Amino acid sequence: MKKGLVFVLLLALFVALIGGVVSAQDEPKVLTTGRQMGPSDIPTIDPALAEDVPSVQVIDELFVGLVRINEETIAAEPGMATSWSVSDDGLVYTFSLVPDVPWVRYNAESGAVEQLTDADGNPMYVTAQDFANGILRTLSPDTASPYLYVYQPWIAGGEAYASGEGAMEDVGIKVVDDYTLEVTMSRPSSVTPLIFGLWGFMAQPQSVIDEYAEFWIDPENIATYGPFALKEWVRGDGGSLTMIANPFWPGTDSVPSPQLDEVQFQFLDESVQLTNFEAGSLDVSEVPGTEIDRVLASPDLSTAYAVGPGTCTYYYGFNVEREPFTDARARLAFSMAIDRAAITEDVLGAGEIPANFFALPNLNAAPTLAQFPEGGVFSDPEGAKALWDEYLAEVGKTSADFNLTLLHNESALHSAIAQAVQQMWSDTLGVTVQIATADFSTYLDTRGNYDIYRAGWCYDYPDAHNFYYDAGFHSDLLEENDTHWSNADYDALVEQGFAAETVEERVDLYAQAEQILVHDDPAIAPVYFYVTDDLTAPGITRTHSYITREHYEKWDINR
Amino acid sequence: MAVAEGNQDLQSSGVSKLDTHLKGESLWASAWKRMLRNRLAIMGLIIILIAVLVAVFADTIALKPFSETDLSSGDSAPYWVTQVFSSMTPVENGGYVKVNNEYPLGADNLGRDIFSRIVYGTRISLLVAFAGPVFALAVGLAVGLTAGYFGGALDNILMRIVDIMYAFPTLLLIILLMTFFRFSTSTPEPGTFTYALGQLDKSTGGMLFIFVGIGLTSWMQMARLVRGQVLSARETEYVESARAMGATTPRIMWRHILPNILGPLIVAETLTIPQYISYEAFLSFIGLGVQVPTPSWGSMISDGSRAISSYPNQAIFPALALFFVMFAFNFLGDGLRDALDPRMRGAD
Amino acid sequence: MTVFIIRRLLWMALVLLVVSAITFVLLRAVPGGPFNTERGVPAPVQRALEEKFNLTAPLYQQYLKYLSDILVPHITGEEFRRSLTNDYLINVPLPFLGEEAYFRWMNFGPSLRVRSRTVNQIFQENLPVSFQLGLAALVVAVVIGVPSGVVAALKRNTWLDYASMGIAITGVSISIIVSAPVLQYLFGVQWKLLPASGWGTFQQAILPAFALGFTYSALLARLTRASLLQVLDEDYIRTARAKGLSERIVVSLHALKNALIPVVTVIGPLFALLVTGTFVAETIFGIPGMGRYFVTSVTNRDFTVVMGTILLYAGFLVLANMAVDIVYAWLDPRIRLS
Repeated sequence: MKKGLVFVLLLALFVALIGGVVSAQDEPKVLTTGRQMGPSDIPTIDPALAEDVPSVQVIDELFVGLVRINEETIAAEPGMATSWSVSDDGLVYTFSLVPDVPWVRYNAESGAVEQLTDADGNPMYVTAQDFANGILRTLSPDTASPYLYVYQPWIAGGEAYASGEGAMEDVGIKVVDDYTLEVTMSRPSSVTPLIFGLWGFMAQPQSVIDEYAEFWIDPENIATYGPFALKEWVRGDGGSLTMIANPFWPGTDSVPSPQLDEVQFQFLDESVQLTNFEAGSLDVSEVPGTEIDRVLASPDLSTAYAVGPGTCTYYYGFNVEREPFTDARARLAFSMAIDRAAITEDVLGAGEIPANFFALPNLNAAPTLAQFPEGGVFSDPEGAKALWDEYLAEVGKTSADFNLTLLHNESALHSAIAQAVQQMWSDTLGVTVQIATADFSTYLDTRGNYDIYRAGWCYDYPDAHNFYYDAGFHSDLLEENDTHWSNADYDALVEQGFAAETVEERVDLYAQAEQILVHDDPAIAPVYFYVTDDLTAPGITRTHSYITREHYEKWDINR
Repeated sequence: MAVAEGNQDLQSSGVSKLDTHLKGESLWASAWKRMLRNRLAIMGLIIILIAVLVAVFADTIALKPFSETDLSSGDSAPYWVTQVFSSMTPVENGGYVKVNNEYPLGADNLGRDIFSRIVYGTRISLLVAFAGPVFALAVGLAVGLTAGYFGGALDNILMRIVDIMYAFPTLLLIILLMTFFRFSTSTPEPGTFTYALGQLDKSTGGMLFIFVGIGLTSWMQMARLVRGQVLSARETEYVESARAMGATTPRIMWRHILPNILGPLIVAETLTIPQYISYEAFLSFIGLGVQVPTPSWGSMISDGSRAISSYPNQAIFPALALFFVMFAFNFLGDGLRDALDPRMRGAD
Repeated sequence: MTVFIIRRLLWMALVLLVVSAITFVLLRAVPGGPFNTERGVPAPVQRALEEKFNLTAPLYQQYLKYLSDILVPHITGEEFRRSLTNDYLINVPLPFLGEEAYFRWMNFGPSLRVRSRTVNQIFQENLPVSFQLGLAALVVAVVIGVPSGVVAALKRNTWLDYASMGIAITGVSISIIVSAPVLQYLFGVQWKLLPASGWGTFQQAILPAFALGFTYSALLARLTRASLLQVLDEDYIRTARAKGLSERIVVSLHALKNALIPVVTVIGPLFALLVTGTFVAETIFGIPGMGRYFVTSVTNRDFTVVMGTILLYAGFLVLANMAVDIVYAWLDPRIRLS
């Protein structure tokens, strides 16, 4: 009978196709993690192009910057530079490099990490020239790095070069010898060392890039030098990326030689991660917001659970060109009407912190609630109502006269928070705010036209300047600021804070700027500070990173 | 989706055989009698009637307004739910579920009553169930009547368009269409046409574009069916005689052809209703459907399925509601077809 | 037959042309672009990217360039090197033209969002998953649907018939949006028999395959039943019975063979439908397939991925339907292709 045959064939095909995907892992000291990865493929591991957490996580382990940002203290430590000196005017940085660190590549045939050699068979070492190449490639207009806005202001001549107006030769980078690099900055700042911990300013293997173009980051082409090397990259959503310990990494105080043999990043949904973690097939897992109550109630899971500070602030921006937000009182009233604690405890529940400030408290030079218990904006329904009534009386309108719309990008979380806030505004101020959603791309294009929009800012480098300046509220960036807000006092304070020498001075100046931004003449209503939480299998010693990327060379497994 | 495209073709060809049986009142009467004997179809009809009542009297039946949040009772569930879903251990027994008997089916993440939201969600699903066919019928009738009646090159072109539409992967097209409608009208600048369109959609809770999206992707079956019916009706004696008596084309279509093809159309549309309902659920599921906080079963299932391990009730109850209504329309449609042509029982 | 196939292929080309034009217009009319980010890309970068991906040219030129990249085949020799703008889905070696000679066709271009990937590479990663899922669902649908349809027809008007048809209508009523969370809860959470989500193992494929396939098993059951009933009514079956052949032989040898023709013909489009309709299953079960990638790409305005996917799926649907027509003609000589 043909029918039977067809069934058998289909079944066989089915089994073969599905069965072919099974993989097994039981080598010693292989860590599997889904942390910060998400379900999608890692977009890139090219240091010049990376702009997202998963990419940067991998890059930070394959490459090492001149400066290494300590993941627990967020201090700038020596990375590939053993030390650096600064000229008296604070402009010229001279870095001395760790010598004899070879460029390496994993050889799938021999199963080992191998040194790269030049045409004469001599090992290729990471030199000052490689760093110069890397920095220049990142700044190059041809590279079109999406992260250029962070990189371009720092190095003298960088902005001109990046915009295509200046020449490469005029960028303030000088290779003194193989292991000495001199960089001239555009202005002095105590923030500068942190910038050299950014991935875009890491050494890049120009010869390899020239040879393979966009595909130089594939495992069979790439050249790296950090504590781990790239072993395998199963691309695509649901794939994985495996790093193998680099035996040629010399091991320094701040970047030791890895204890783990391999680290495998798996690209999985949070819910799949949790399922796999509970089944024992994943060592480190994220926790979906909807599952936190259950995790905390479970004896096994709650001991594996840890919460640490996050890197982002969730906020609402007010469009100061649209009624009623042309008036600072209206903006403040809307901000004060948000019951932040109810959102962090009841809607979220992973230990998120109600935000009274815009800048995250654990940043370098950021004011904190502990230092300024009265600072910033606080939830205060009565105060909000009073302010709002005062405003209404003055303009002679009622709450019903306003037809306001809040825009957020599509996400179950944003939707839940927006609906909760919608209710708070309605209960406290009597204003009905409509909620509009858009996919991310439309949202970015159109949010400047709405009355209120939801946004988040995650820092690029752990200094408060990144929030106060780069996030777009300084009037230098007015064109990109979708609240259309600007304030001369704020600008002055941010500039002074950037230039001030001691951290204490900076904190003080930033606290004043913050007071303007969220209270006196508010542009935004900060809602909460993100946290990062995860589950770690027993037997793993680890550090808990405050900078989104983990430094796995400091981890170990002892089962 | 619930009904395959291959199925649609079979359906229409099956139904098209009915036309010769549809003459006069007696046929409708006997069909109605046959229908009454079909217990499952009657059950479907009763469920639909109940759903209609629920939708109409939602304000009375619902315990709370659908958008009313109570953050402190978020994710709570009544005692009986924790018993049925045994993985939901209450806090008192060392678990994580807040027991709160005020919510008959539990509360969602924002503390909104799931029961009340399901009640209001009935409105959305039924609206789609009745408006979906209207939109599909409007386009399908126009195209089918024109193609069938005038024939020739016009017919050829129209039918080729139908073929092309069939080549589109329906789900992908509808995603694209909804993205297009929703986001190219998402401007808050009054005075423009797109703004007006966007506002109109917003005032219907996002339903307008859903109807349009469904209409634009589901009319082809109807067009083919109508065309087939018209082609055979056109040759009948009564149309010939009407024409001979000098009746105008629209009049012939309206008075003579349309009534005679109504039966198969009703059957075909009833059978397609579950598909429209599931389209809406699907669109809301991926966030392109109704706008918050309007409750749709699809968006409730979408939100709930994210918490399926912790709070299965949040997805399962709206899923059951969706199932029952689709089930009812399927049985009713099946019964209608059997009643109109007993030979065709279970034909697809 | 040849004429028929050629005509259908020409027709298919026209269909795909229209499909691509509609998709292109819809896609470009939506606000937002592929390079949007939270802080916004600096203007020079935006310009450089747009030039790199040919987004500055007039729209019709972009469209024509895009089409010609896909449609125009190339024969390449040793000098061929894969690059972002030069990567073909179909690569056939041409040994008679030289060792390195290849026939290359269908260059879907680079992904605009993932800057080191071509659309072809993305297809190669995601499409097999959707295919496996669609195939698994088809197996579920056929294995459950056809036998129960046969039973229902043979035991016509008995409780078996009513039961299986009742289940069939129930099955049709279960949208995947309903079945997926229910299966996930029962088997994954409550009974802990199967993994509730994920992809890669046989166990992980079972729930999504059932969630997706069950609805269609109901469809196949009803179709099989109707078709078999019709065939059993035909003269030649009566003749066979009259000749005294046992009922078993009549059914298995004569009736089933013909009754399954319409069933076979829906399997092609059904498979196409399953493969192109895996989106919800992929989302709920966390499966990394093309359906989910497509929706993300629409959100990201990854124009080339969206266009490529729609074209590929449309081509697949048209081909599946064409294959059915051919198979149909081959199985049933009464039907002539014209």
